[in-house]
Amino acid sequence: MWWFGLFFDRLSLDIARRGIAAPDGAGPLAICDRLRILDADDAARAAGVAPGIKRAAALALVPKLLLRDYDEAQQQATLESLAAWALQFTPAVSLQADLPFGEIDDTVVPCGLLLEVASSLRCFGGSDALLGQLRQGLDALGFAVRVGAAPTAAAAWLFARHRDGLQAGDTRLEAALRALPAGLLARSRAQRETLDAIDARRVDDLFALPRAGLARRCGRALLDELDRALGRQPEPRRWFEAPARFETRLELLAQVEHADALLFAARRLLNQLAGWLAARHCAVRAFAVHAEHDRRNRRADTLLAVRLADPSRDPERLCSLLRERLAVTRLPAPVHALRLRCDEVLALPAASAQLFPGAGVAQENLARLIERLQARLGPRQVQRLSLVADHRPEAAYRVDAVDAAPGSSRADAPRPATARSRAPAQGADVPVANLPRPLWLLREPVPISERHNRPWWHSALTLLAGPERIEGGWWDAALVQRDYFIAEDETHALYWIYRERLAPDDARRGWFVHGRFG
Amino acid sequence: MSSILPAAVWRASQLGHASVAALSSGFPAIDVELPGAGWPIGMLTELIGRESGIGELRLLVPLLRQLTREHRFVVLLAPPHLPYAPALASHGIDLDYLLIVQAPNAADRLWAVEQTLKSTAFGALLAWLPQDRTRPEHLRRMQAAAQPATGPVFLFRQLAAQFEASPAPLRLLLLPRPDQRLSVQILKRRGPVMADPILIDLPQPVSAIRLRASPPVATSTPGPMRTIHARHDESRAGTLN
Repeated sequence: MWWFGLFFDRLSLDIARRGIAAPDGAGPLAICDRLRILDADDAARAAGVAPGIKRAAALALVPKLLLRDYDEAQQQATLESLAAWALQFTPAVSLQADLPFGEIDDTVVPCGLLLEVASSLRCFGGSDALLGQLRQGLDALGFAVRVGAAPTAAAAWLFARHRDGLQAGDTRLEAALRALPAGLLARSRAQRETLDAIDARRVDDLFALPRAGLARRCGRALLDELDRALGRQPEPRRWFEAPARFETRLELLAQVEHADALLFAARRLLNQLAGWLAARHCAVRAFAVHAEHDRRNRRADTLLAVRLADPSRDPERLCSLLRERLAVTRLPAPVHALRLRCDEVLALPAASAQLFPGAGVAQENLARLIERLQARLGPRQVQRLSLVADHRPEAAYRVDAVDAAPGSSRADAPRPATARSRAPAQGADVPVANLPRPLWLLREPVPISERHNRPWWHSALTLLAGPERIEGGWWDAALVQRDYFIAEDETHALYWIYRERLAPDDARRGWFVHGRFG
Repeated sequence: MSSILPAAVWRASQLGHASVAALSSGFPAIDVELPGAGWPIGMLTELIGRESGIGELRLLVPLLRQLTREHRFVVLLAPPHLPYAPALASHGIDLDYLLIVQAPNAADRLWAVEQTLKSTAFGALLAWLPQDRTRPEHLRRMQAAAQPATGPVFLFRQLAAQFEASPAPLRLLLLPRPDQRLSVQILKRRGPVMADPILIDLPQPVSAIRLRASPPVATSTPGPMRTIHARHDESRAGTLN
């Protein structure tokens, strides 16, 4: 067994602060309950706001101190989302309750995680490498953490409470535990006072005392805790189970109106999402960030919906798509909270590493490009052409938006689904044309005039070939009865022009340019 | 003497062949005159013409046919008109490997060009730039972004652009000529100045009949593939029904 104890010693502060990039959110901040300051950040502490002082006293010391009320439910929810995130490193994650504010407040609430990582060490390259990844990940999420590592859960937790980075293996465990201050074991004011009264400064001092007497004075719980830390008692734990849905909210410390600042906060959420997805071996096809505006403005949330070409859980990629989406979105009002919801979660098989980069890489790059273009230009702006078996020129093709590949796997994401247009080009599917077709088709035929019995567009046109009679469309509303010619103007550019036959009214009679030979 | 020079240096009278990766244009007359014997990869190629519809796309048809057959994607960025699918197909271009990106807004268009260049995932990029919004610094950025590209990059520009300075290493001026020919004048290349334009025959779809000769050129020989239909039409050319 090898346990990591993760103690989030500034959890409430981090929850309040993590949506704002550090230089902007540097104002002194403190967490308080009704009366007292529970925790204060470095700037506030430097100004004399110590945990434990009265709320009014703190405000007198630092008038522009930002106060946030302690919210136990939010803290619990955040810790659960952190546990869900940590599931990517090991399936054995457990919430640990303790005193988050030390001696100031004696309510025991969850404020840390315990991870049993023995079975994950090989996969992540050892204890130190895994710890490095954990710290890096938590830093990206915006949480400060103190980590302890030990063969038992209770010891790992005590180490984390005492000092960051403390760890001890089987042989050094007892010695390391003996060196800890005895106060770490106390869970209440009464216990603390008893320990003080019997002059037990270190855990070592407790070992010297008779067990029965100690149990009578301090309660069995304290001794049990010590026994569990030493591995003399079993320690059953409840494992955390990840929620089936991902929805998370991040309240911003200030009103944000810049896209960059929003992106900073969104990146925190996306990192969290990535961890949750990794733990479930899943990926997203689509996600939506709701930007909540201040209630006073009475505005509906701004919705930033992003679709991916193929499922992914790479936070960088999700973030870059969101950035493009943000770049073209106008925020009607400042934003005070972000909510991330993901709709399409799919199982993502792990990609096997390739010895040589193959064609799959280029295909994947292309899918990335398409989704980036779609994120900014709009999903209909990336198009694909296909043939339709019809004689009418304007009905002989179809323009489809490139779908971000429904149901296709990663490798062939941008591949089209239609088998029809896959036939070799000169094959039977292409209508045999008498005259060559122009490479450019005008979106609307342009009516042109006639001079000296010759069609005229900027200059006199000379007919080089034709007519090719095209009739069709009696079966739907768009009846076409035309004679097509290829014409050349005086600069030798070629046009595809037609004359309407049997036109129903004057407006449609005469010559039209329909294409250009690009 | 020439062997002493480093590979990236060439004499004014020679073509710079050094390390220019290129794809054949399909026209031997053009390949001979281009450094690397084809359309350069990872560089901008400017195609300057009066307007779209003078054969500028048919000039690239052999390349597009080759690329799409190799299952490499060709991106058409902000084409001025609709690329006509049946015509592309009749030229042998596989439509499955053609992507069209519409970007009506000039700023979006420049952004899309740069994004596409950065992705390096395309077989060829054909981009139509907004004439009045494209400044030399945009082109310099594009040229820098094009370096790692795996395919040739064509920028279609209007006639006025031929007098502007441009960082594109290859610039061609296209003019239509009678009988479906195209005059290609090399305005800039890594090599000696070329005064005379190259005249090429534009490719025709296999299934199509030949056109009549243009009227001013009286001596042109009739095409060998001329069909009865065409002759029939020719006889009526003067009256125009």
